[in-house]
Amino acid sequence: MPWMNPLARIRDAWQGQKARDKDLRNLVSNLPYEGLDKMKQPNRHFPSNGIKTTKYTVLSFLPMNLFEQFHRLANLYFVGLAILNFVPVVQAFQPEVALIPICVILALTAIKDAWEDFRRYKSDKKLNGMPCLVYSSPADLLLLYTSDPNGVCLIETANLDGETNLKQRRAVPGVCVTHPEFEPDSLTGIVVCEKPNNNLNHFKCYVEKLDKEKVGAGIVNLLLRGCTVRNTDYAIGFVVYAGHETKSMLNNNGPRYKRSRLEQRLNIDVFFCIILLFTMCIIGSLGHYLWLVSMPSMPIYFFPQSNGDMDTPSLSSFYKFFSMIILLQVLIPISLYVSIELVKIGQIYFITNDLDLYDEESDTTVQCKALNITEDLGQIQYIFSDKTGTLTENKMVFRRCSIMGTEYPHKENAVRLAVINKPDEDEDVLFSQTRQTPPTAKPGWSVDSEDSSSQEKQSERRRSKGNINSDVAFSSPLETEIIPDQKLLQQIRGTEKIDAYLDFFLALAICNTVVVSMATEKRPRTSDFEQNIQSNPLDTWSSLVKRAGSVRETLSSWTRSRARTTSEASDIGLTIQGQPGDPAGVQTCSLHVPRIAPLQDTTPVVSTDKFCYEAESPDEAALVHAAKAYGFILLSRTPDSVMVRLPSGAQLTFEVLDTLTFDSNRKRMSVLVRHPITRQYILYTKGADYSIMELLGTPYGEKLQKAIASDTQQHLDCYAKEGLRTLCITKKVLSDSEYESWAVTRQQALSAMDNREKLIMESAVQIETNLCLLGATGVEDRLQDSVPDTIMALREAGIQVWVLTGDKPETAVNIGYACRLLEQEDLVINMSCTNKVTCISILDCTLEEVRRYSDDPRNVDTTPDISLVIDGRTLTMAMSPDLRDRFVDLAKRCRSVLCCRVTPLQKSQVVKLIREKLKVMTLAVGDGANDVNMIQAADIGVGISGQEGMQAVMASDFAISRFKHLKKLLLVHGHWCYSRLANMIIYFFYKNAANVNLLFWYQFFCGFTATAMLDHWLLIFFNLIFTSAPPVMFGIMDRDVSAEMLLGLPELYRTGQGKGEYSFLTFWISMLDAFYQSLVAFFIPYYTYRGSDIDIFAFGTPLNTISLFTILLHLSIEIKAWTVVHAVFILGSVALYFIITLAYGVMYLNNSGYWHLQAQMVDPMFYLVCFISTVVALLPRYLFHVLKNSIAPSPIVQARHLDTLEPSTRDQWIKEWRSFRGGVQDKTSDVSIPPSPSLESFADDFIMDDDFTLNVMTDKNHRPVSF
Amino acid sequence: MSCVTVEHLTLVLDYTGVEQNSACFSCSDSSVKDCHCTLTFNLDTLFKGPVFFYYGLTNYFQNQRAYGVSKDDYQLSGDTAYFKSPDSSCAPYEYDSKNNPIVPCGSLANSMFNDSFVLYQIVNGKKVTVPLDGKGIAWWTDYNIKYRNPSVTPLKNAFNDYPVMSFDGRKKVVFSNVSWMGGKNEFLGLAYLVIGSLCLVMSVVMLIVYAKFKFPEED
Repeated sequence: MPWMNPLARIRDAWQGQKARDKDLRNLVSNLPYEGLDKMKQPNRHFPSNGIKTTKYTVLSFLPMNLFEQFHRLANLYFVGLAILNFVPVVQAFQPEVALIPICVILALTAIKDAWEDFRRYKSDKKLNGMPCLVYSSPADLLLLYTSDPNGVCLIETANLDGETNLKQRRAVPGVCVTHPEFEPDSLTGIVVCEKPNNNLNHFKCYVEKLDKEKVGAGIVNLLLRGCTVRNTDYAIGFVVYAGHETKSMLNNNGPRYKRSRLEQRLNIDVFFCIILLFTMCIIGSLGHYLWLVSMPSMPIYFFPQSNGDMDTPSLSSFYKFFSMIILLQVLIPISLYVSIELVKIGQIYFITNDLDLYDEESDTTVQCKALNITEDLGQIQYIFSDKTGTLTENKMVFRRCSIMGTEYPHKENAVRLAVINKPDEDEDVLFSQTRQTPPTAKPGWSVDSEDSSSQEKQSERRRSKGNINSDVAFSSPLETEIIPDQKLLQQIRGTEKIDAYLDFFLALAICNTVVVSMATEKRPRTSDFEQNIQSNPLDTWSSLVKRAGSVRETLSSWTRSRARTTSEASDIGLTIQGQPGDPAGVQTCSLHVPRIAPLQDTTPVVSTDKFCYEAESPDEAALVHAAKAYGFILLSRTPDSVMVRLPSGAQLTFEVLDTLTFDSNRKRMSVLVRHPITRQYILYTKGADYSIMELLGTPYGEKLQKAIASDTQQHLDCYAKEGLRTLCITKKVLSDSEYESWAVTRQQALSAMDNREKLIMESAVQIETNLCLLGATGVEDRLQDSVPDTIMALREAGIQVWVLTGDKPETAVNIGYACRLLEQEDLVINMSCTNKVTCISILDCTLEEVRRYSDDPRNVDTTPDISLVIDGRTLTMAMSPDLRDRFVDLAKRCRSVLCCRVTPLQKSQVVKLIREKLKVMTLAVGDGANDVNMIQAADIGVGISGQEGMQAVMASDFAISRFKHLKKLLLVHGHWCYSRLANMIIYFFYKNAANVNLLFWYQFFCGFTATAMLDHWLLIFFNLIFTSAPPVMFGIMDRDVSAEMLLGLPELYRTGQGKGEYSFLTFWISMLDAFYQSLVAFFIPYYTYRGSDIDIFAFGTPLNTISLFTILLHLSIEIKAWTVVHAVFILGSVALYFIITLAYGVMYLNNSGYWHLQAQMVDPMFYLVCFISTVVALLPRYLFHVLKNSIAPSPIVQARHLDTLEPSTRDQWIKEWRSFRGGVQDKTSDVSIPPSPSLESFADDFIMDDDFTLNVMTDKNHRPVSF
Repeated sequence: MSCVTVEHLTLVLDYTGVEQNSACFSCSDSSVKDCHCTLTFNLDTLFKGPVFFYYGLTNYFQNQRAYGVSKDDYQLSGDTAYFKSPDSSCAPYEYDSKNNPIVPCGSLANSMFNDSFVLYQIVNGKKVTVPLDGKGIAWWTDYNIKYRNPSVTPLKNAFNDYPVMSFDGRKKVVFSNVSWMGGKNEFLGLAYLVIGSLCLVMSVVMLIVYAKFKFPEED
């Protein structure tokens, strides 16, 4: 690098800082500057594409790590004491020796940090050296050109947000010369983009060309780092963000640090310890003063300072105060913090390696993202759960529909689903049966040979069994195979003239964002060349040719981009290659079409084409599959067109003029198309019923429309009660002028730089009026397996379960019954009101009623549990500042609460409200982006890695794959982690107090001069070596009850809730015990040796030995599950003590421990003293344990005893226990099948009053209670 | 509690001379130099040998920190480099008045009990000197390995003038036929008796409790 004026260098650095901080960034192409030195590169201020997640470098490790460690108050305290020890007047230890413990602690922590950092370094190195050229994007690229003639590039963002559907990205039009060939040098303008941020779904940018023309670009033009390019041969882009500034890196926050409640509690106790320490030091200092003044005159053994003076008693005792602090410093457990961290590493290891928490289907196990709140899992009191995808599979199955006011129940479909519901049946077997039925109906159009199709089927079956990554999203046979309703089928076939029916299915097929790909195109990860060739014999040659070409492309692009990645600044012209050998998806679809087109009237069932529908939401996929079952087959979708095959075999290509995407405010989406034949502008809208119903117009005349609307509404309510997810489908025909005027508004909204989202939404709202209702659909979302069981267990464990869902109350209530959140005999309070006054009165009345109900002495035994159902609007009012106390009071008395139609924000508000008002430990579990707020608001956030992407998982502390795993995670691991850690921490306090008190008692016999009766080294070894490992092992390995018992008796979980095992009382009891034990360990030897000529260190030796045995045997009493490891650790500690002390005793140069243990060990008195002191010290605790466990055993002890019984007897006991405790009546009657009442039984159970509704339902005859 | 074979016997005599009528009263005044006093005592039982002769001081806080740390370990272990410059912790016994280094330095080594004793047996009214044997009172390792000091200056010119009144101490001579720690102490025996019987009672109580509250397995 050439020499450069340092001033210029500083100026350049400052400019770089400014450029990076600016809201808008100007980037230009690097290509013209290639070969220039770094200072002349225009983009030099921006980071390169290298990733560095390590915190330290080799050189900076020591200072930085020490600096970070000294942020911890405890470390500062110990370093301060060590330094204080260098002051001669207050010295209590040899100064060098006193430094050892803190050095060891710092070193241990540093080693741990270094190891973690080294692992990061290794993964960085792997990542930076990864040739990611084939199908994933190496940086955030502004798409300039793709192999697709329309400039489309399909990507999959599974690596980023877990969404496995295909997304379309488009090249920025008109900024480069792309015809006839792409010329990278033609990009001459400036790319202006916003500051890097972590929003994966938002990007603002424009390209300013040389002629000052601005071309806008957004997220649709951005290829994100880490996304996979699919169905596209190559794509060329301009790097806008590189390295750490890419969106994926900005999203990667690493593990979060939360403080667990136990640790907060621990800090209070550390504070108590400090008070205790100060008290002891003041006693010491006072004692020293009294000792000094009690002397008649200057004793002969007092020695003046070097100047001949003596300190006055008061000054001397002031110094002694500090000496005492140094001497007794161990009372504040120095190694506790590092031990806790070690224990948590061990606990997390056990959690993540639990095979029961492993999900075969998705090949994932539980992930612990937050490393230090494992024990909070054992204290949960409230669980807030999302419904869709969390309690349910989020696998949508089309169940029934209503068209023009007529209901089509799809009985066969229901039967099919019911059969699948049976847990014993194998879904796959069933699937192949249904597939084998229609081969006769399959005309000879298929080019697949017989064996290849069977092979195909096998591979398909394997896929459906295999992991979710390789599977195409939302396309298990359960969801794709729909048996059409015969009546409806005849309706469509028979009367071709009914346009509404046609429109209904067309809307199902068109009004979505589903991308079509072919089943033969597997994911690159799972693609199998041979399979590909075999199953597509016709395509073999062409694909081979294609492949050869793309391989060449890959190679050339690889070398090209290799050359560029070495240049430091942002770069243009990285080429991304689609999967070689992939037939380009969209085109292949259209290639297939002519072959299919000649097909005459086929029965719709036949449509077992190899289409894969990749949808953003599973509902959409379910509807497209439903349309397909009736012969309306979505063939392909490009940004501008959508191709549909009708039952008649005709193909229609609709021009897509606009797509008004779904948002949570509108709760609907629309597609504006132009009919190929009638040339009409048609707007198809689908959305939540309440968002659609108020927008209906009257195209068929008011009366008919009203009748249809009311009929449909009735069906919708019925669907909802059945637990189905409902959607309304509408159509609107626009006149040319209407469209044109709207198109202008729309265009303005799209090109706006500020307020773009708002304007776009407004434009959507503007056109979605006067809709014409076509019908409604009911889609079933099945409960995940073991959900009712899990919820029951959680409830028995004393956890209140809340379900927060965006669904309507009826759906939610039904799911509530299905998953046993609500019981048939529950008192269900349904709160729904539109204005605050009624809300207040309802709240007061209900509260009154509930209080009276639960306070009534007659109801003590018979009180049915109370459940609350509340909707979003009412919730907002109930959570207003003046009402929230009453609401919380009501909610507290309810066993379960269902909140419906809530927004993501409300979800988090509810969590915060309960958490703050009731001071309880909360857990939020969800799977979607809408649960992120809630997950972050709760004490513990659990993300379910399901169908809806990874946002929830990324925001969570723990990630699981199924809801049922929550049961073991909380009841077993949570309980264990908590009980282990709580017991270990208490033990740690006890251990240090018991040991250090010996020194304190000795002060009474040495004039409070801070003399230790032990050698300093042995004193330090005692905490560092002899007694440090067993508690850590205890914290990792101990098990108070077996996992089977914890799962069998969920109520055992209650021991950890609230204060749990680690309370004020337990802490002080163990501290008292520590004082008692130290008294015994000191005074029995004292009285034994009193009056003898024993010397100071010879006296200290039995004290230390007694202390060791007491402390280790105390642990043995506390250990609940002995294993070999436990024994090895404890015996090893004893052995280590004797070996090291003996070895130290013969060391030539030692101050005070010389040959002492040896001398003691030949004296029988030593053994006699040690034995009796240990026995007396432990007797009270042992006695207490024995008597308590016999006379009033805690549930844990009982369960532990049950565990030793024979399995059959044990199960008998568990059953009796559960029924005895009144927790659960034994209701094993087929819990997995949700009650699905028939249409008739739902008359007017719910008073859907337009003002407010308050239904209190008890028993089966839902009795409305009036106030 | 008495042993069957060897009777452990200890005889303690106070010679501080606090009481007016004590033979050593004159010696309790520290201004009196070169004071001699005689204590007469009888042995009722025979002390089986070897009999140890100790002197004892009470209230003498040897274990106070300033006293205990006033030594130079390197000097004591024979490192001659430290002979010329003793460790500062030895102050004020670091250098003598002529600024010569003190070896061994420190208060621990330099607080010398300078009373001297002569033991007589009165046989038929005549004093017969009982010989005191100084051998075998140090550990073998202390003597042979650890503290091989260049020279051990024998204590000469000892007088009974060690002052103890400044710290309200007492001076004693002790005869005992028990060596090392222990001495005559009934505490441990009593403790074993009490705790042993307590455990016995406790085990009966526990047995009863167990019988009454045991987990009803057959039910």
